[in-house]
Formats: sequence, C-alpha cells, structure tokens
Amino acid sequence: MNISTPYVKRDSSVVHRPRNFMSRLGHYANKHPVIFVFSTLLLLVIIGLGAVILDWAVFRGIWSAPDSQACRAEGVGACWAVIGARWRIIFFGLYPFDEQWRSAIACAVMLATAITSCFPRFWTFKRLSILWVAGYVVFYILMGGGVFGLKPVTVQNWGGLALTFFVFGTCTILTMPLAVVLVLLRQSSLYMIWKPTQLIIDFVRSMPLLVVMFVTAVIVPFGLPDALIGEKLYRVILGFAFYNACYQAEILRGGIQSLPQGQDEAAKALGLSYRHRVSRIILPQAFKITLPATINQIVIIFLETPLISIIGFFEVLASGAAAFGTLEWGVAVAEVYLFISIVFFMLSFSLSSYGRFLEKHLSVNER
Amino acid sequence: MNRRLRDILLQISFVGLLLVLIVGFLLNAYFNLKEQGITSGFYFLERQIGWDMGFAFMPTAISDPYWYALLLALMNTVVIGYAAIALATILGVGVAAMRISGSSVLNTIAVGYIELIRNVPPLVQILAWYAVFTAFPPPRQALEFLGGVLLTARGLHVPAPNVSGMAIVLSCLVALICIAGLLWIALGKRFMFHQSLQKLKISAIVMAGSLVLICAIMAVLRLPDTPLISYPALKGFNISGGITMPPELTTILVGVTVFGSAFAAEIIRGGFLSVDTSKLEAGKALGMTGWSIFMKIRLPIAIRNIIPMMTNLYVWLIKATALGVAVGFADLFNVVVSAIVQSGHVIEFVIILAGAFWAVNAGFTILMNRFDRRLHAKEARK
Repeated sequence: MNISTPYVKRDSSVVHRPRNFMSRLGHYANKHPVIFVFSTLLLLVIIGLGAVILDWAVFRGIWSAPDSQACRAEGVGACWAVIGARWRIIFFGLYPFDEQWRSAIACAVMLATAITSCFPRFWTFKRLSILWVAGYVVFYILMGGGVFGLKPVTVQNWGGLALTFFVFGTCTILTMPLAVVLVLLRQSSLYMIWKPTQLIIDFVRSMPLLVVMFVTAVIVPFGLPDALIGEKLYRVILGFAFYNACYQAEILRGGIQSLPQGQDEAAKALGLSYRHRVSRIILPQAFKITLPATINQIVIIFLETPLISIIGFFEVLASGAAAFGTLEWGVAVAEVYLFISIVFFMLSFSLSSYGRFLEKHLSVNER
Repeated sequence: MNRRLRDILLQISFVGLLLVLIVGFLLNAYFNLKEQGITSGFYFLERQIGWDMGFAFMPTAISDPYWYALLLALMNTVVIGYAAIALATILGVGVAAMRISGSSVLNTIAVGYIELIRNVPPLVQILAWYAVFTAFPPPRQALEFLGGVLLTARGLHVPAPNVSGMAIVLSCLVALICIAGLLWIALGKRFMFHQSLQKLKISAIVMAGSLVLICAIMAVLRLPDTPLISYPALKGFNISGGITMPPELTTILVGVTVFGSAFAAEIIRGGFLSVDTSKLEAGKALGMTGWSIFMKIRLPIAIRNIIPMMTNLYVWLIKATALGVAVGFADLFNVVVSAIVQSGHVIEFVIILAGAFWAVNAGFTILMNRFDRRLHAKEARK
C-alpha cells in the first residue's frame, strides 16, 4: 500500500476519469446502462428522422421553379419554389399589390420598436411609452394611408404578417393597463368591488380564447347600440386584450402577494397617498418579480394571434392557406405551413430566449 | 364616517355600473334580435337539430333534439379534454425525466422537443397533425397492425367487443367510479388510519368488483348473434366493424397532448428542482436508499409544488379542445357555432356555451384545489 494514500474514502468526484472518448463512453454505459441504451436508441431514431427530412427538404428539394410543374414530378422532395412564387401573398395577404412596400416597412418598424424596447436603456415608463406611441403612429400611417399622399387602405384589406404584428402589438399594449386596473380592483379592500372582479376574472379565464373572440366578433354587435359597434378587428383585439388582461392580472396579483406586507405599511406610515403607494411602491416591484411570467404571457399572446384566422381575418396563417389555395400550388401545403412555422418559431423563440436572459440578468443584479 | 360613506358609494356605483352594462347589453340584444324575427327563450332546445353533428360517443341522428346534441358535444369536449390531460401528464413526466436524468444527450433532446412545441402556435400544430392523420392511405390500402388494428385516411380502426353503445358508456362510468374510489381510499380522511395492507385489500376488492361489473354489463348488453369481438374489415369502399377513431378526434387528442406535455414537463421539472437539497441530504444521512429518498421525500414535496401550476395547465388544455373547430371536430364550441348559424338563437347559445365551460373548469379547479389542500393538510399534521 502506498504510504501517501490517506486513510479516508476517496471522494467520488475526483475519481480517475478515462481520457479517451470511447472508454469514457464505456464507463458511462457501465454506470447508467438504462439511460445509455435509451439515449442511444433515441439518438438513432432522431438521426434517422433527421436524415429523411434533410433528404426531403434539401437534397431532393426544388428551390426555384417558374411554376409547379417541376414539383409534380416523381421522387421530388420539398417544393420550396412555392415560397419564391407566393411570398407576397403569405407576407402581405390582400394588401394592394402596388402598396405592399408600405406593409413591409410597417412590419420592419414594428420589429424595430419591439427590439429597441428590449434594451434596458429604454426601461422607464416615459421612454417606453414615447417609443411605442411613435412606432405605432408610424405603423398606422404606413398601413392605413390617407395622409402624405399615401393611398388609403382600409383595415379589411390588411393582411399577412403586418396584421399579425398589429394584432399582437395592440393586444400586448392594451393588456398591461387593463391588467393593472383589474388587479387593483381585485386587491381592493371593499367586498362588493373585489368579489365581482374576482368572479369576472375567473369567468373569463375559464373560457377558451376562441369563444371570447367569437363573442366579440359575432355576438357583441347584437347587444351594442349602433354607434358603439365599430370595426370587427378592433372589437376582436379588445376581447383578446381583455382575456389576456385577466391572466396578467392574476400573474400580477401573485407578484403583489409575494411582496412583504411591510412595504405597503411603511409607505402608509410615511403618509403616501394610494396613488403613490400603488405607482411607486407596489406595482414597480410586482412587475419586476413577475417579469418572467409576464414575458411568458406575451409569448402566449403571440402564439395565439393565428386564432383570429378562424374568426375570418387574413393574418399570416390564413394568407399562407391562400398561397397554396390555387390549383397550381396545391401540392405544396406542407411546405407553406412549415415555412410559416419557422417564421413563428424564430420570432417566438427569440422572445422567450430574451425572457430567460432577462430572468438570469435580473437575478444576478439582485444579489 | 365620511370614509365609510365613500366606501359604500364606491361599491354601489361599481356594482351598479356592472349591472347597467350587463342588463343594457342583454336588453339591446333582445330588441335587436326581435327586430330580426328571432324569438327568445330556451324552448328551442326541444326542437330537432336537422343536421349531422359529426363524431359523438353515442349514436346521433338528424332528428335529435338540441339539448341532446349539446350534451353529446359537451361530452366530446370533456372526455377528450380529460384524456388529453392524462396523456399529457404521462408524456410530460417522461420528458421531465429526460431533462433531469443527468444525461446530456437526453437533456438536449428534451430541450429541443420542449422549445419546438412551445414556440409554434397551437393552431399550426393542430393543422399539421390533421395533415398527418389524413395522409394515410385510403381504406383499400389500409395499413395493418398487430391485433387487427387498421390505419387509413378515414381514421384509426380498432377491434371492439360487439356491444351496444350504452354498454361502453356504462363501463366507462364504472371505470371512472373505480378510479375515484381508489383515489379516495389512497387519500381520503375516512381511510387515514387504516393499515396500508388493509387499504391494499380494499382497493383490490374495489378493482375486482368493478371488473366483474364491467364484464356483466358487456355480457348483458352484447348484441345477439354476433361474435364476441368485431374486427374492422374492408366492406365496399369503407371499413366497417370495430371502433373507428376519426382523424379529427385523433388530431385533437394528439395535438393537445403533445402541446400540453411540453408545458407539463417544464412544470414537473421545476417542481423536482425546487425540492430543497438539504432534505435529500437529510434522507441520505438517515441511511435511506435512493429509491426511498425519491418516493418518500422528493416525490411528495415535488407534487405539492406542482399541483397549483398543473391545475392551470389542465384548465388550459380542456379549453384547447375548442381548437377542434379548425379541423371540424364536434366539440362544444364547434357544435354551438353550427347551432347558432342554423337556428339564430345567438344569446341563448352563448349563455349555454359560457355556462358549460365555466361549470366544467370551475368544477375541475375546485376538485384540484381540494386535492391540493388535502396534501398540504397532511404536511401540516406531521
């Protein structure tokens, strides 16, 4: 026995590790046989599937063709030519063909606004609101026209990605103040105020979003005086926003309840008014605590915007359906949907990744 | 005094405002509809629907009254919703297990799955699944699987016992009661002080009893002069015999399950990670084995952390069955929309629709909250 070996059991974390990759693999397989076999099998299945998809999408894929004749041949893979031929209708829907550059710039403005507001430099109430109001006005003027010599385009003709962005952006912006109002009513100390609010929130939360959209699009006009009916799109957006506000209100309520009671009491003791207690002490902290859940909710809003296509709006999913709806490109259903999924995935994934980054970043700052 | 008066006035005006909005809306709707010649009231529920509602768990006909069609549609929503909940939980546990397995390969695969599912709109997923399930060959070239299962573009055809539809519904009911009974025995106050062996015995009796009951129902209600089990087979241009799961049903079930599993996996993983490591170390120090540390410390605490979030997810999944409208599955929302188009009774149907969804989800939430409280009560007693 070597004299230098200490008389204690070796710490398992400093056990000798084989350097070679293969022997390390063998070591692992010995130690966790079930996981090893399972992950190997899964990996093989995924590699096989990936190879099939790669072959279909890339190697046998048709990237450009003047018409769909090439896609109808035997043994041909994905028909990406449909995107090249029909990308205008996918992205812009029914928007007048000659004016589609406006729709494209409007989308870019909306994206730029969203990305700019991700920088911490803009995180004051004033800067954020100025940024969004400005972005919004530009978007609206570009899309709607009627001023600066732009041809007017009615809301019925908006479509594609611009409509998706518009619905998503408006809904998100409306959701936040609505949620604040709801949560303040819900947290009221007066029984006949918080109880009805609670009932409303719980009721709306138990409805599917589709039902809310359907009711606002089709049913609400029956119950409103003619002067208040307004555009169907705006009603649906309002309904959508109210639905999400009920969720966001519950998220904020969780945040407010997790604040130490002393915060509010200290503010009261200092003689702050209700308005200042809420706007300076309670809400900023509640928003900060619930930031991950809030971003999660925003991602959900984004992913639920395609539902408006069921109510009859021409957003990006519905205009995608129109892209292969012609006799010519009827072969390329899967390709169009795949393309739209990729667009949605990229946007949604970057949003949720940003949320995760923020969560980590803020919790580091906390320490 | 001044403050109290102000409070009372505030409350009265808030409730008053709500009442004015609701009553004004309803009155306005009533008069508007009357102008269009649509009568109000719920008498139409007795009338025949006059159209085919599509898939249902019971035989349907065009001459069914409205209330019956609505009931069947509600049954579709609830049954598919609950089935999707159960399947999503099982799949979610699997994915969560992959994430906390410690194997980087499994973890990467699971993360890929979760991110893919969570970042593609549910509606797009449902449409994609529908495309998959209707892309199978026509009945003449049906894909055959083990045990007489056939897969065609018309759906999944499974062999089934030759019994009436009533028998299947009754058997499902018995099975549900049996599961509820087992849960009660496992968690109920009534059985708290029973020995575990005794509990096992009672559970076995309950299970055996329900099995006998199901067999009896099957035997009594089986169709006379037919073989015991009917196998699906090609007859003319279509497949007859057995039970057919239409592609719409499979789409909704699979779509909602897959969608839910990604969220369930993250919730379950979070629940397991939130268990204090010092508790696990304490178990180790007491000389408990890995398995019993998992079963007696990690799992119970994790479940307690998971349940409130899972309740939200479950309610969400029940609601997600309304996406059936995109592929033509006869869920409650779809049937109500068709009924409104057919009959024009807008307000009544919306009240029914909202009331039904509220009842289903509120009932479910109350049940889950009771379950949650019971688990926490146990923790407090110890």
